[in-house]
Amino acid sequence: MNLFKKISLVALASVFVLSVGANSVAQAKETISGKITVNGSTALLPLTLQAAKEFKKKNPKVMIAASGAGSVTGPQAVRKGVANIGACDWDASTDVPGFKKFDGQVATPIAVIPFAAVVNKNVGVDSLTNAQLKDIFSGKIKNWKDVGGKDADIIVVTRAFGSGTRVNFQQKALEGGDIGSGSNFITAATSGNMKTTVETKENSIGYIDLVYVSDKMKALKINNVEPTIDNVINGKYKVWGYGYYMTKGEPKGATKAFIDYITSKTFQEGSLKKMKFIPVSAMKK
Amino acid sequence: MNKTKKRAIMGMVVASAVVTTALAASVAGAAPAVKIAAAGASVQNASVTIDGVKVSLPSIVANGSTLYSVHDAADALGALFTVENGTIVLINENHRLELKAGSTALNVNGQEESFQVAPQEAARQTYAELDKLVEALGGEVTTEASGDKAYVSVKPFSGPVSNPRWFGSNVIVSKANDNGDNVDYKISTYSKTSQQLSAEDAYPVVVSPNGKYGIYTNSKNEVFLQTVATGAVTKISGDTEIKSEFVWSADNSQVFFLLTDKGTTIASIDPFTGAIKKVVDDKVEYKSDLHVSADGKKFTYLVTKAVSAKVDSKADIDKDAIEIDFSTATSQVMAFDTTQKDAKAVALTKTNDNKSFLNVLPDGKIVFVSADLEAKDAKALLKVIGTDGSVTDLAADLDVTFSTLTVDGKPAVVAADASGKANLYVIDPATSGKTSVYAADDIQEAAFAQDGKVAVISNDQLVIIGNGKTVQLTK
Repeated sequence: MNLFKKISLVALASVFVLSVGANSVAQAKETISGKITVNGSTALLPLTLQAAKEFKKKNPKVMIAASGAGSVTGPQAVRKGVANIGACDWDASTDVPGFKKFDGQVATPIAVIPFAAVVNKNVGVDSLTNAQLKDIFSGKIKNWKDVGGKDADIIVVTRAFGSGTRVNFQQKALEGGDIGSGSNFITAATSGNMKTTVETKENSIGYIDLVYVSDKMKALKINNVEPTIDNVINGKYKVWGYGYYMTKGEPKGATKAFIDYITSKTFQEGSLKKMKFIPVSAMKK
Repeated sequence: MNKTKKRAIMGMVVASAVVTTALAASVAGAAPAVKIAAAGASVQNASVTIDGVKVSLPSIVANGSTLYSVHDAADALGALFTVENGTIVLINENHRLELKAGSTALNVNGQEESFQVAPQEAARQTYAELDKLVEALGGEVTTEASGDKAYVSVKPFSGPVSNPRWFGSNVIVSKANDNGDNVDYKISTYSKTSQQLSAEDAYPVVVSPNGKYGIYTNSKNEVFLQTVATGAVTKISGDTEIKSEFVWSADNSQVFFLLTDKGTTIASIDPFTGAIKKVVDDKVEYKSDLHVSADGKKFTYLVTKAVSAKVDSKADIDKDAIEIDFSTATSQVMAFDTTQKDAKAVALTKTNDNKSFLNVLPDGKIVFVSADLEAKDAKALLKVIGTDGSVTDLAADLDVTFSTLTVDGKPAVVAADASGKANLYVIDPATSGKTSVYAADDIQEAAFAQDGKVAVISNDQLVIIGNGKTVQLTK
């Protein structure tokens, strides 16, 4: 340290002494501490860990441990008592097609997640209707020429039962229609696997969170509406859902503080938007 | 009052009463019609307090109102006084005022406003309402409980702020707008004037070491370069891959950052061409707290490990056949030296403690804040990793809530003292000795300037400490 800086520090230290003398009452803010465990949606995992990184800088005594094993395992882990928070791409406190509600759990919406139907770049089709998507994913339509493409077998890539992306895509893009099986169907275990499969498998079609759409694949219009954040917010594009944090009853203590942070304007309008999710408040306008 | 002297004095002021009672020739009727009615006006010196200092301003009383010398008031308020074609012009950093004796019209930055009482001439000077002049120049007039007025030459920036960054003698802070978007503002520590720096849809500006440029992304992750002095902005990349944690190289030629939503890749962007290059692409997920060596070749960062859950997918949902070992969800300090052949990331820590606030000291030692959550009532401790790999405590009596570095590379931390008051301490890494530089009920963040000043965020407000003074710049 040079002399000037030494002197500066001495001067600043003097300020401190005067400051203490002038203020008689001092209370530090209450610190939050503990370990918060989160399990569930793989799509929400990066969001959780980004929020954790920021929350930790405000609360260095809070550790947030997270895992992603699919949406349904979120409320399962909460019910079993092995996680404080279950990240789930649907409101697991209510019945949805294929899954009964998880009694006693409270769902807090933390993000809006747009989903897209995606195809390999060699597929010549740019837009499909809900009816065409239903027929492709049920296995009724097996060749791209039947929906305006070239004469080539359709490879259908789907997510496993229990995936929140699957639940939302089934509900909103397939309008409750079934997803079939067979030799032209491939099951991707995670969103990352779905991305890689559609990027590399010619004539394939799948579905994925909009955030994972890359320039190595093509996101389809549905009913001639492009899957964009603007079209979700303005109500034209219907294939989206809320991401939820499920808790056993109302959240408390450090868990509540973390949920308060991830739902705060600071995070919702900051990192959450940069990570290509949509703030929950955007859909309430 | 000397302009520089005035600007050096910050804080709220208490007005004193105007001492003159001399009555000028009264002005009959509506003010706009009055033309230089003050031939017999009695000019008296009135004591007015501006920015905490009592100043004597020539004044007259007209139409029941006290009017003050525009020339002297401008000087006291730090504004330039000129006359252009018979119009009086006052100029400060963000305002231009135009007025004439005998007219209530007041032009402020091209917008028409008005005085209640028209300015008047007396003894070769023009006199006008001080309250209106102060407000039109961007200042503030308040009334104390006693009824006395208080004048501040520049209205303090208001609202909660965060993330202080020094840019010369200015401090850049972030503030949420009505939509919740964080917007960067530049606040002068001398004049207290503020200027919006970044667009509404922008993420914190990271200023280059030479202070000339700022780099930021919008919500689409496109990259923008801003010349901080002029505010000019250039979009340098339309790439929309998710980017975070910009870090300038020491020579201002590159900016490093983390790429993808999982921070898997360390990349760099040329701030002048926008060319993006992957530098460390080892696919290790959830890197954070990126630090880059002076030569841009070595990287230090934290890696947070996400846990793998074991799920029996064939079991009935009601069975909750899921097992998760969250104890493996650790964060570790990693180093990556790109000068090494077949370089790989090297773990510098192996412990399960919670790690945050990673910083690298000039001698290559690494400091971080560690909280052992398994221990009861454990403190969040500042730890240092030596060049030999040993990990030891620094100032182990402190329970740390924030950590950064001073400009000469010493650790600085916020921790509560014995009375519970938050203190900003500078730690000597050689001796573990601590020096308190500021104390307050609450300290959230701090940033050190080259000239020894410190910007502190306390109770969401910006406080500047330096030159033996503590000044709150926002309210």
